[in-house]
Amino acid sequence: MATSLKWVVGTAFVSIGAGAAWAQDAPWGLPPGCSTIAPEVDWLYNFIFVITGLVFVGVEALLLYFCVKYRRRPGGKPGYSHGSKLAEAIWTVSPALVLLFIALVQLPTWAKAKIDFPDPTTDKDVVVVQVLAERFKWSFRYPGRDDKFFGPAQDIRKADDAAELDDVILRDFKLPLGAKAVMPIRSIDVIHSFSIFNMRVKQDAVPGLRNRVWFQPTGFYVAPVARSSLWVNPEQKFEPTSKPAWNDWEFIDSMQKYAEKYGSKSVAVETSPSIGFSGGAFRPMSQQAVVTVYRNDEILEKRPVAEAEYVIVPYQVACMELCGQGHYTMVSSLTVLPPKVYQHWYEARMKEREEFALQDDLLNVWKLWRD
Amino acid sequence: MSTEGHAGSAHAEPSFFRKYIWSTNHKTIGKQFLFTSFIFLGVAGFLILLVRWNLAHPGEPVPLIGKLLFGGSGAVPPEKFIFLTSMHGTLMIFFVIIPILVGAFGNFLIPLHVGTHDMAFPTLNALSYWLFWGACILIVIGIVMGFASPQDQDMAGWTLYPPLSAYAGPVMTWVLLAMIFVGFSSILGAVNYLTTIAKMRAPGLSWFRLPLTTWAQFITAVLQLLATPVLAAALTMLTFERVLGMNFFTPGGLELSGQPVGHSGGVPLLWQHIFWFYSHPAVYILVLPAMGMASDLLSVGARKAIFGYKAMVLSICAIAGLGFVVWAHHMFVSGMNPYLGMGFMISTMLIALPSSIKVFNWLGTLWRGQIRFDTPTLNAISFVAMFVIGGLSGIYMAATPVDIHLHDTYYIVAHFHYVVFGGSLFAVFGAVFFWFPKMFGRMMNETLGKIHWFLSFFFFNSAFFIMHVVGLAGHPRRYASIAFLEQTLGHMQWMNRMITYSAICLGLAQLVLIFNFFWSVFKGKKAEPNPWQANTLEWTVPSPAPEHNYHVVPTVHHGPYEYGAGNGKDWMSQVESAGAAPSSERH
Ligand code: HEM
Ligand SMILES: [Cu+2]
Ligand SMILES: [Cu+2]
Repeated sequence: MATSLKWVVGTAFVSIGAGAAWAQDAPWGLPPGCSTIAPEVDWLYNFIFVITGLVFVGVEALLLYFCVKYRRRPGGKPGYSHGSKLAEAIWTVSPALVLLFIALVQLPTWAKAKIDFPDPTTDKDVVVVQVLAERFKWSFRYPGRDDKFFGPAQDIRKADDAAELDDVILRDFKLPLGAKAVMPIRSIDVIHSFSIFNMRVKQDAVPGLRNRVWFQPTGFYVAPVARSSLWVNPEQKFEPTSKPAWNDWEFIDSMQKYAEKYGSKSVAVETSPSIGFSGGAFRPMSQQAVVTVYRNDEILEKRPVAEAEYVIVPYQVACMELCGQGHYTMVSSLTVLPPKVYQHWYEARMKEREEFALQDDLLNVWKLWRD
Repeated sequence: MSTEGHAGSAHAEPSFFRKYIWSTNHKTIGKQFLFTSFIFLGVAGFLILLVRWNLAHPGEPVPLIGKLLFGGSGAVPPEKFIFLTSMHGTLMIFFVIIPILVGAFGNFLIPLHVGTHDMAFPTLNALSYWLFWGACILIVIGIVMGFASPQDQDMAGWTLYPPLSAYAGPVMTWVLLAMIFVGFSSILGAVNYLTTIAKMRAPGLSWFRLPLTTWAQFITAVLQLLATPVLAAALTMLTFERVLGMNFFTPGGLELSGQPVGHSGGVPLLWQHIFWFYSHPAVYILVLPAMGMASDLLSVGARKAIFGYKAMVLSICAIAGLGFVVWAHHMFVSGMNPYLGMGFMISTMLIALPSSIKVFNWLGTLWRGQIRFDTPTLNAISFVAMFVIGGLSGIYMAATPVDIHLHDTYYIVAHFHYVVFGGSLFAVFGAVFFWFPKMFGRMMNETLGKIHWFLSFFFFNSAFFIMHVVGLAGHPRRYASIAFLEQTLGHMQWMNRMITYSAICLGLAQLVLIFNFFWSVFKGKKAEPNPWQANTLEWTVPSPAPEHNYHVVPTVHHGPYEYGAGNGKDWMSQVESAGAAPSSERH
């Protein structure tokens, strides 16, 4: 009995170790966490993984062991017992303590994620970006030069042709490295869920409810751009790969590191519409496409796509609450940019807004925004 | 309530119609529920395989039957996808698992276990089945419409979240009506079960001498009686919102595809609160009876008394009680007040406790047993093994910060399939095998039973375990394909394929069960009264159980788990009055 118990416990520990290593390894575990909350969430996940892993291996091993040890034998007599109060007490109290511990240990993380929002009026790092969900698209609004959002619905309608309407509204969004994003979330039709896997962010967009979410990205990935412009229509079958794409990418968490590694390289700072992801790599959508390139601290616009050696990887944003037939197409992206590039980009967008009226599809949706 | 009135064979043999169709006999009604829900099990399983096909091979034609079902190239059209998943979930929960566990086994076993001739209200019992039939007709109309109509069959999952469900196409209305019928059927059934168990127990059959199966049915009936009316209210509100233009769940100022929506003043979260107030207890309705049956099967198979019988009963009660205060763990990221989330997180952690107590007691039951590896026992042991996995994954999701990442991914899908398929359905496989002789007077084939068990166990795990992995990576549930998330999930596509192929094999493995079942009904070995040497009352009457169960009302002398008590054989029927019989109330 004693030796077999040692075996069971030994196997349990080896399996847990192997399991943890396995789960840490990118193809199996959580996708890379790239926000300040992510390490806490992932720690909690790993913590629960170890505890439940032990319980899992222990219980299943014991079950198996009992099945072998207490299998029916000719002439064998079963033991007679209706239980034991002591055993009951032990296995009531000990899981209770463990569960209570798990319950308490997670409270600070939850509070950080959903309760302690940074204050946009005092915190200089905060960037407020509004999110509006409609079937099956996301759009994002920045305040523009006056740093104020157009408030109530009628304003945006009235200001249709007014020059001071400078709010920037886009189908995907960007943030400068180091910024804290505070994002009010609304929906104009059904419930959607705003989710960014790598940020460990998820918050439903509920019609009639003023939801919001905040997070702070810790960096961005830089990926090589493949030369071949293979592109398949995403509606058709795509090219599965066996390993996660981010294994080949470099994570940049400071401008210093960026300067060292990519300062003199040609890095495309945007993907859509010129660069797409397919077959495990970023590729030009066509050889004629043009992109904005960041090189030697200079921002070069409208460069041929062939010039870009690298690209800053956008994080995918997905709708996670069933919203109808096109639910699975409701995908957008967040790009975290070097601050200088972000400023340049934002300037350009604001100028664009001064010159061109908002497109009808966006205007029609955003007139439904309710503060 | 007289327990003798109907005993004896004074009745004339009823006509075929009275006996098999319009019967008020609890055994016939139980079998009717069993057959009906098995049919839906096949349908719902088939629907989800179509979904799985598209996840493995997005946009590719479904082999063999694609053209027949969908025309065109034979691929699953995106607009049919939501219909298929939603219908799968709705059918499995309301037309398969609940009716099998409660309708079939509750009906068949309760009067037998309490030692009486029938339910307290046999006509009400029949009514409960025929209301269920009403529901079946309505849902079949929905299914046919879903396939037949050219487009726009939006549905809203089995959770029916408005506003989506308020706008969805006409199929939705049929589903709502069907669910209202199911609800009423459940409520009537519950009244019957409670009365029968509380009032019609045979002499000597005290509460703590009831088999755990019956205890579980009793508590399940309490859950149904308290929770189902809430669901019925919610469904009625939603139906009124759709059909009569009332406003409960849809706020004003919305637009759908550029058209203003003619609703105002509603609150979407109201639905989620009401729905989960029912549906969390409902997930325990989906598992408690299975826990009861698995306990009995394990005890019989191991030739050992249930370890900690009273702890088992108490933990069933605790699960039911706590089950009413955890509902909002489905809503952590819905926009509900985050402080509320903390409270529900703690209650959810607590509810894992009674479940773990039960697991340890099952282990204790096997400990020092003489385990007989027949099909019922194998399935019951699998129930324990799989339920553990589902219970443990629940803890990840109860941890609110982790749930932010896991919510609405395949991790959730893995979780509840481990508890409902790995748990409840395996218990059902075992239970069908175990009580088959009492139902049909013949034994099922043991070899086929083991083959079916092995194939199901293997393919179940290879299909559903991988879902944890893809879910952890972020794979959203209810997506027609991950083509648009290739950058994040593209490397998981081979796993999607593995899941799909395993699911297809899992489906095919059920053919073995179907064959075994029907073959055995006609050709199986004739069963003795007590083929498993079990203690409970149903095994004291011939197989199949006679029309009125007991000719003489049995007198019960002790609890149902006196195995290995050392009276010359390793079991002792509840009616045996062996002088020094140990009481099960002794611990
Ligand atoms: C052991 C204790 C359990 C815990 C701690 C637990 C916890 C949870 C949590 C927190 C969720 C919500 C996850 C989310 O949507 O983000 C969930 C979902 C679910 N659970 Fe459990 N669970 C447990 C046992 C069970 C059992 C026994 C069943 C059924 C027999 C069950 C069935 C379900 C179902 C069906 C869902 C998904 C509902 C849906 O969104 O479609 N769970 N569980
Ligand atoms: Cu959506
Ligand atoms: Cu729940």
